[in-house]
Amino acid sequence: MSAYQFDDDARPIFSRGPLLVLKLAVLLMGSAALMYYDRVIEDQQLAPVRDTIAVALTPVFWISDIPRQLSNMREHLHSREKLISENDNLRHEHLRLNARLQKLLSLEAENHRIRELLDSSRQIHEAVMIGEIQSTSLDPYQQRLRINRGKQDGVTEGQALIDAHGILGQVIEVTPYASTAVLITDQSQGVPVQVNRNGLRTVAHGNGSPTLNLPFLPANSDIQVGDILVSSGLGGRYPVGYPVAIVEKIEHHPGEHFLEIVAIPAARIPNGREVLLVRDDVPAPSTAQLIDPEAKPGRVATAQ
Amino acid sequence: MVRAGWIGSLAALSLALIVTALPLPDAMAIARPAVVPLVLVWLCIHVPSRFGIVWAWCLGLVLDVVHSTSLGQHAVALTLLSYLVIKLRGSLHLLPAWQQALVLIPGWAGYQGVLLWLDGFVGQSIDPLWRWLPVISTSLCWLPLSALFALADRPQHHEA
Repeated sequence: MSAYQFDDDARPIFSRGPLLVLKLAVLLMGSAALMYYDRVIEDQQLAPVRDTIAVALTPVFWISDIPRQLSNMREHLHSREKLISENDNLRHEHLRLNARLQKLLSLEAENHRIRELLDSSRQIHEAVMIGEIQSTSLDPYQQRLRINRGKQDGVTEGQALIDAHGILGQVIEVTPYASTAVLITDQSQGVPVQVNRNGLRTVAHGNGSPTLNLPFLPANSDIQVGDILVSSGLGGRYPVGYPVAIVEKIEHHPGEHFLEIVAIPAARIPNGREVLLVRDDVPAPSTAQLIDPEAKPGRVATAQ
Repeated sequence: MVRAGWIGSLAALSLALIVTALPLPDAMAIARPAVVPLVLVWLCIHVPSRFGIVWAWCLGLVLDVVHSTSLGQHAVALTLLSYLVIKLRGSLHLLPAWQQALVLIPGWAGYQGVLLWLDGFVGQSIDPLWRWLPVISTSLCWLPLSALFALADRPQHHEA
């Protein structure tokens, strides 16, 4: 080690002093300004900086994903039989769901007619895009996902993320070729929900664990274990009517004004690889199209 | 890396970034050592003319993008850490690796502490007790890392 003391690389110790402190001060002020702009003002002007670094880091993410890709590949190679049986199951499931979908389509058309009668302006119509999860929660304290869809694919900040079973979270950061989403179980998240049974509205809060809390329901609220909570669409972030969670436990401590309610997210958060990015700003088709049975296949493609 | 030059140093830093971005199960991820600061501190001690606090700041920004934290958070922590290391370099690089490992423990703790404090400052609250696990793992990694780098950096007699 002592060989390095007289290395040609080493500059004299004393000339570094004042310059180093000056550099430190400038860099710290730079960081403080960046943090202020990035988090407090939430200015989008920093997005190009982030994008540039993220694009430069693409090979790093790509290489760090190789071990998982390899293990996936090995799994695929070793499980032909499993794939065949899974394929069978999926075909049956597909048939069953198709049958249900037929019914759903007629119900949807009926629903739409009734909404028309009620003069409701809200139309249920969302476009979805399939994304693949690249990595989950690099930082275990932040419940986040990285998805392989970015600005180039039309992903926008605030877009909702769902899986086959319910709402997963929302996109919080978009770079050109990838985006980061925060899960509904993150401490910073709250989803406006509605009890499916009776329409009771509340907010489901994440707490950093795999469950959600419903902190604002008074002791006399009509809520039961097993109730399904669906998104209410209030706040405009999450689309209406997707399952969010199922009530798991209700406790009332005497003397407390509010119930202590724990719900399990409907989305299978740790499982799966594909997610759906939902966008509900697509112009809804006209009523005639919705009710016209000929228009159904096209509608299925965008709304399922 | 003193002898391997820029290529060796940059390769080590890139590898450190890859390890940082490697998906791990949650149970392992909470104890993931801070590999980029480890490599950077080694470089600051052994190649001070090339790697200083400006490098630390830039790498900090890169880490902010990798972790999706607000830009500047890791930059502050890494800049302060490298400043301390450069200030203490005179005595640090004379010590044997195991003593360096001991001396650097408060450094890793300070790094995590600054990150934790800034997390609270920008509105992320987490269970702080677990946050100190990387301090232990990073400290444990110093010895093997120094040995590895010393090995990679040994004089190449056939080239001399």
